[in-house]
Amino acid sequence: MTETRENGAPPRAKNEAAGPLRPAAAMVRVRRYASLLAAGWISVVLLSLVWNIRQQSKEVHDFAVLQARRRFETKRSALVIRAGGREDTTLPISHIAAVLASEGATGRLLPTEELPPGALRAVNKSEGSNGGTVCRFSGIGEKEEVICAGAVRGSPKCARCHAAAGETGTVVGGLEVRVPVAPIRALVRRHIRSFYVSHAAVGLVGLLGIFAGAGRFARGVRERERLERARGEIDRRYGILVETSPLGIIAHSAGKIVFANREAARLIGANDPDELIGLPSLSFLHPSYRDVVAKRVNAIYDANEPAPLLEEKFVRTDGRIIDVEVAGIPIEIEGRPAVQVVFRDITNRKETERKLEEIRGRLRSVIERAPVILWALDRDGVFTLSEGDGLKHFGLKPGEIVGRSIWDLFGEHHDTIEMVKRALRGEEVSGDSEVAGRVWDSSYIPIRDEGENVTGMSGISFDVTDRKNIEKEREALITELETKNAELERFTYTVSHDLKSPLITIRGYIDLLARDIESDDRGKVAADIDFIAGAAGRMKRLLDELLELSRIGRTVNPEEDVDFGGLASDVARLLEGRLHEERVSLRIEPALPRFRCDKTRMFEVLQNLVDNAIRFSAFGAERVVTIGARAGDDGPVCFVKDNGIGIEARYREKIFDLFEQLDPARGGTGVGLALTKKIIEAHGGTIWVESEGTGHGSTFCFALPGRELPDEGKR
Amino acid sequence: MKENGSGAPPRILLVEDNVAHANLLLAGFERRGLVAQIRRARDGEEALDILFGETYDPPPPPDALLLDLRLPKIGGLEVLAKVRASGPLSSLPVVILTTSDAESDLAGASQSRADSYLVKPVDIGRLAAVLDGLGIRLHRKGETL
Repeated sequence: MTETRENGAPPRAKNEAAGPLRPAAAMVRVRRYASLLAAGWISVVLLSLVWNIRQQSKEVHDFAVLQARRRFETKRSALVIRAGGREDTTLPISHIAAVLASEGATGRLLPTEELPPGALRAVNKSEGSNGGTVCRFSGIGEKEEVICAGAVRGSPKCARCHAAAGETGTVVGGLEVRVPVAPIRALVRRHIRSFYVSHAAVGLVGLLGIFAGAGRFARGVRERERLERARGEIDRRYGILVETSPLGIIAHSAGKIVFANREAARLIGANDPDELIGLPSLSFLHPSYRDVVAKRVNAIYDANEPAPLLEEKFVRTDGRIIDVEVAGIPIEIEGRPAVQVVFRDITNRKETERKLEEIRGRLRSVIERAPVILWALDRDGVFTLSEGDGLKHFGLKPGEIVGRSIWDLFGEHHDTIEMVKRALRGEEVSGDSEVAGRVWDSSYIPIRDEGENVTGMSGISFDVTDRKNIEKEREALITELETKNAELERFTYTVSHDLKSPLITIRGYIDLLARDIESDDRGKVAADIDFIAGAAGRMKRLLDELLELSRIGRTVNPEEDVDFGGLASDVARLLEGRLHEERVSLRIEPALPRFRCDKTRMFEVLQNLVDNAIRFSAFGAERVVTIGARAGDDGPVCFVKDNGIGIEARYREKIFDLFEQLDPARGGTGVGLALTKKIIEAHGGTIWVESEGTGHGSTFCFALPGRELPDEGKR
Repeated sequence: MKENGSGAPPRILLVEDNVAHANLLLAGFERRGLVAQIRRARDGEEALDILFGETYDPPPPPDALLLDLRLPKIGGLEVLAKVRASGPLSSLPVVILTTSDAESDLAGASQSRADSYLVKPVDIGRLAAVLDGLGIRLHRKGETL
C-alpha cells in the first residue's frame, strides 16, 4: 500500500514541487523594470528640454514679431507713398514694397487732409491705433531685426494732389516697424539656461524616486517571495501529508465530496480517490448513523467548530461494513464552507474490544459465580479489590470493602494476617485458613512496581469447605473401613479357629470311637458319642449365633418407642424356666426408662445380659440378677447386675470380643456379649462392665444417648 | 533335668481350654502307650500361675510346655513371651498346639522362640518325635516301673 501511494502521488506532487518564483528572477525583473523606467524618465526630461529649447528658440522671432506688432500699433516708423502704380525701387523701405506687391492696392484709404510733410503724422492720426492697416512680418533686416510692415492706399484726394505733381494712378504707401532680435535672443538664452538647470533637477529627482521606489518594491518582492516559498513548502508538505496520511481524509462541501485521499479511497473500497469526488457526502455511512451524522455536519457548519471523535460504521463499496472513528473539521474551499472528515478504520480494534469485553464478561460471570474471592491490598493493607461469589459468606457485596483496611476488618484472623504480612514483605505464600465459618485455600502474591518494590498484594481465596468436609468424611470413612476390615480379619480368624475346634474334636473322637467300638468298651463308646454330639451341638450354636451376629446392621427393624420395664418383663418370662432351674431370682426395678430403638434387638440385649448373669452368678448363696436403671452423664444408664464371680479389671474390655470366654466351663459360645455390644453400638450407645473384682459380682451397663423418651407419667 | 535320672516320666504342662482336645491328646498318649505326667491348665492365667505362682506342687517346673494359642483370659503367645522373658524358665521347651495355621500366629510363635508349632489335629507320633527332638523322651508303658 505504501508503495502504491508513493507511486501514485506524482501528478499532484509534481505540481506542488514546481512551486513559487525563483528569487533571482524576480529581483532581475525588478531591476530591469527600474532601469527601463529610469531611461524613459531621462528621455522624457531630455525631450522636454530639447522641445523647450527649440520652442524658445523658435519663439525669439515670434516674440520679436509680437513686439514689432505691438510697436506697430504705437510707433510706426516709416511711410512711403507711391502713386500711379509705378514701380519705384528706390523706395527706402523694401519691405513695404514687398507688402504692396503682395497685397496690391488693397490697403486702406489714407485720409488726404494732411499732406506731406505732415503726411505720416496724418496717417498715424487717422488710423487710430493701427489705422486699420494689417501689420505683416515681412522679414529680417540687415542688422538682424524683425521688420513688420503694413500697406495703405491713398484717398482720391491724395490722387488729385499726386496727379497734380505728375503722379498718376493710385496713391499707395506703407508703414513699417523694426525690432532688433538680439536682446530677445539674449533673454531666451537666459531662459534656456534656466531650463537646463530645472530639467536636470527634475530628472535627478525623478531618477532618485525611481530607484528608491524600485528598492522598496524589491524588498516587498523579496518578502513576498519568502512568504510564497514558505507557503509553497507548507503546501507541498501538506499535500504529501494528506496524500500519504494513514488516515482517510475526505472533504465535502454543499453535500458533495470534493476531495478524498488514497487512504479514504482504500478504506471505502474505491480504486481511485477520484471515483469518490462528486458523490453525496454521506453515501458511505451506515444507514443507522445517517441522522446522527447529518446533525453533526449541520452543527459543524453552524458553530464553525470541529466535531469530536465519533465511532461510526461505513459501508464499503463491496458491501462490507467497517467500524471507523471520525472527526469533522470546518474548512473553506474556494471561499465556500466545507467539512474535512478525518477517519480511520477501527474494525480490528472494535473486534478486539468486543472479544476482550466478551472475555471480560465471561471472566466476570465466572468470578461472580465461582466460590472464590479475588482481592487485593495496597501497601498499607487497604483493599483495592474484592470480587467473587465467596464474599456472600461474609455478607459482603463485591467491592464493598474497597478502601477499608484489612487490619480493621480481619485483624483477629491471625493466620490470614500473618500471611498478608509476609506477602507485603515480598514473599509468595499460600495456605488454608478458616474465616466466616468456611475454609479458604488462599494464595498471597506480592505486587511489585518496575523498581521491584512491593506496592501491595493480590489474593485469591478458594472456598474449599466442601472439599475439606468431603476429605474429612472420606478420611473418617477410610478409618471406619479400616476398622471394619481389621474387625473382619479378626472375625474371620476367630471364626475359622473356633469353628475348626469342634471339627477337630469330632474327628478325633470318631477315631477313638472306632477303636472303642472295636474293643467293645461300651462305656467309652458312649462317652465318645457324647463328645461328638457336644461338639456338633456347639458347632450348630456357633453357626446360629454367628448368623445372628451378621444380621445386626444388615437387617434393620423399624424403630419404635420401647418401655424397658415391659421389655425386662418379657425377658423374665422367656427365661423363667432357666431362672427356676438355676435357682436365680430376677428383680426388675420400677421406673425403667423408655427409649426409641429396635425393640427386637434390645430384647436380645437384655436376654443375653441376663443369660450371662445367670451363668456367672455365684454358686451357693442367694443368686440374684437385677435389671435396673440410674442417671448417667448421657441420659439414663440401664444395667444388669449379678452377685456372681465378678470380673478382673484387665478382662473388662476383652470379654466383649467375639468368642472370648473367661471360663469355657460355664457354657456359652463367646458370641453373646459381642452380639450385645454390636447392637448397642448400632444404636449409637455404649456398653461396659463394672465389677469390684473377683467374687464381688458384675454390673453390665449401657447407655443410649439421645434415644431417651420422656417419662409417660411426667408428660 | 529333662529326663529324670530316677526314670520318672517327664512332666508336661498342657495349656488347653478345650476339654475335648485335652482328652483327645491324653487318649492319644494312652493308646500309644506313652507315659507322661501331664497337668492341664484351662487358660493362660492358670498356666502362668502354675509356672510362676505358688499353687504348683511339687515345686520343680515342668519339662515341657504344650501350649494352645487361643486361650481364655491370657493368650498362648503372651504366656510364651512371659516364659521366655523369665529367668529360670526362659529355655523351657515349648510346643505350640493350635487350630490356627494363620501366618500371624506362626510368625508370632517364631518370634517368641517357640520350639515347635503343630497344627491340630495333632498327630501323636509327630508330637512324640518333636518332644524327642527337644530331648524329652516319653516313657512307653512297661518301660519303667
